[in-house]
Amino acid sequence: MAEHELEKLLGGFSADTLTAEEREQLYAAALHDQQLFNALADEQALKDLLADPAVRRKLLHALAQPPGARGWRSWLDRFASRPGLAWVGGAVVGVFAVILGLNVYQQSLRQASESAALEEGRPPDESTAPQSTPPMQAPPEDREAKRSKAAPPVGSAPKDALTKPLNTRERTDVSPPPEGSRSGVEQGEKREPPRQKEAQKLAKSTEEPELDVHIHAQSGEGAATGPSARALFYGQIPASEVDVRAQEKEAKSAQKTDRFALGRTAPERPSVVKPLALRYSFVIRESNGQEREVDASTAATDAGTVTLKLESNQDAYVQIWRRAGDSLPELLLPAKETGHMSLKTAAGQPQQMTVPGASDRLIVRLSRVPFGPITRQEAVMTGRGSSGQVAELSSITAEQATYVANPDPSATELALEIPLNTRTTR
Amino acid sequence: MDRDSILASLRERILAFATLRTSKEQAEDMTQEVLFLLHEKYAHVTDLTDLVPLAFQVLRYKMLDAHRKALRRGEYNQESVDDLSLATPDASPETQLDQRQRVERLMAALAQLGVRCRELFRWKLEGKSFPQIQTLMGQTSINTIYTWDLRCRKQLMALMGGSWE
Repeated sequence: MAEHELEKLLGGFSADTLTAEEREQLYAAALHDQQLFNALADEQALKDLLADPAVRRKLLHALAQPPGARGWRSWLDRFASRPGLAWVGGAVVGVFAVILGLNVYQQSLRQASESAALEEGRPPDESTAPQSTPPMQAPPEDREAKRSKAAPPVGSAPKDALTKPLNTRERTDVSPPPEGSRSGVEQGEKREPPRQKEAQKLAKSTEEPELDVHIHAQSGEGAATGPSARALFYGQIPASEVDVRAQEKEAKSAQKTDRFALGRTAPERPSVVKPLALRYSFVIRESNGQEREVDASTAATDAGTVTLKLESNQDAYVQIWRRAGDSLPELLLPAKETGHMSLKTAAGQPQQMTVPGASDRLIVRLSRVPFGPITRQEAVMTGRGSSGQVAELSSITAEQATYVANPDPSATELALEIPLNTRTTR
Repeated sequence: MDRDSILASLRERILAFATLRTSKEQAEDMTQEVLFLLHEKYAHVTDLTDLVPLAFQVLRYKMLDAHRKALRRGEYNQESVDDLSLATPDASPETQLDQRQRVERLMAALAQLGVRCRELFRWKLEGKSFPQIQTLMGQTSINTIYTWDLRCRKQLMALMGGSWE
């Protein structure tokens, strides 16, 4: 073997497996070859390590492991390194992102299917309906009784509604929605989220303890579970809450609003707008010359001059129509002489108008934008108000006013009809 | 070769090797210490195949010792004497830790080798000589085994970071 090839024997040197002949050749060559000597001196570290029997056993055990175990250990070793950990971390984050994305996608599909089902007037598929604890519901007989109470002969029920104090929102069941939409309302009640209940509590808690609130009338499915009109008027319910409510109503599934919101992009979310609300009352002059706020029923029976006092919770445009018998409505405010279709009103600034004596009912319209031209027939239709609109008669000692609001902040218009002969409003 | 001529050659090789790794003065001191030890303590070792590996072993210990002394003297970085641990007859915790880490690195490197290299190392660790390994691997030329071993060792050293230390 040539001397330059003796380096090949270095492996045997460290493992101490050289034959006597190989060993002699190697060492003799190292004495005359500095490079080989250096290589042998460097190899001494490994030789010392392998001279330990315990280390040898350990290495032999590692080398004797089956390829499968070796491969697994090799993978573990790779994962233990920094790049390996980075890859593993990235992969885990990716998997979580995919799972979350799928979950949000499924939620949005579920929401869409429920929404479609509700629009068709049928309950959503049980498999897709959210699992929630059903609310306390009266037996069918009780509901029938309530329904009959809700539609009593004209003249008796409103009085009951006005004189019967209600401290809980459940009393609002006395005016159920139409049959077609009732199932949807019940479904909405079933899916009432904790947030909505909290908002109700908030609305109640913000009122004075001695406040005796009468629910005068409500309409639409939002009325059954909606917030207090008075609270909406005074902005006692946070706008964000109201905004969420509107989204819930749009989705027809209030229980999973938060998850649904995750799946929506920011631009889709409407900006938070204060819900449109108004307060109105009637003012009469007593015999002693003092003015006093009264409700519609008292105003209708008063023989003197009755003034309608109207106030909005934000800058808006107002129209007041008068209707007598079966005749077409007549615009009272703004007056014809002004040539305007809308009267601009500032937030918290009351507008007063004397109610003509021969008026059966008044139609009040409030809008964020100026009203356009409208026919008198159309005025009749608009007076019916929109679904989801809530009204509330507050009968505090010093306050005999009615609050009307639409919890949906996207609603641009509010309309109501004030009957003066039946002492009810809607 | 007689013992004196072997020691003379060893002196030359050791001095050249040490000079590559430390200063000339230190290398001369270190060479002198190795030869003094071989002469005083291992005077009975005369055979080339025993004397040369013994010289390598003593040289390595002397170099490690010089490295530790330099550390203690603060030649690399200043360190308070109070912070240094007391000397013990056993291997210091640092040495034990160093050896354990080297074994772990070696095991990890061995695990990344191919089947042939792993087989080769296994037989070497079992104490089999190159001719025996030649038979086990069914090779007609011993040089093939030498070449394979050289390549496998280079691969292993590269996997360990270029040094056995």
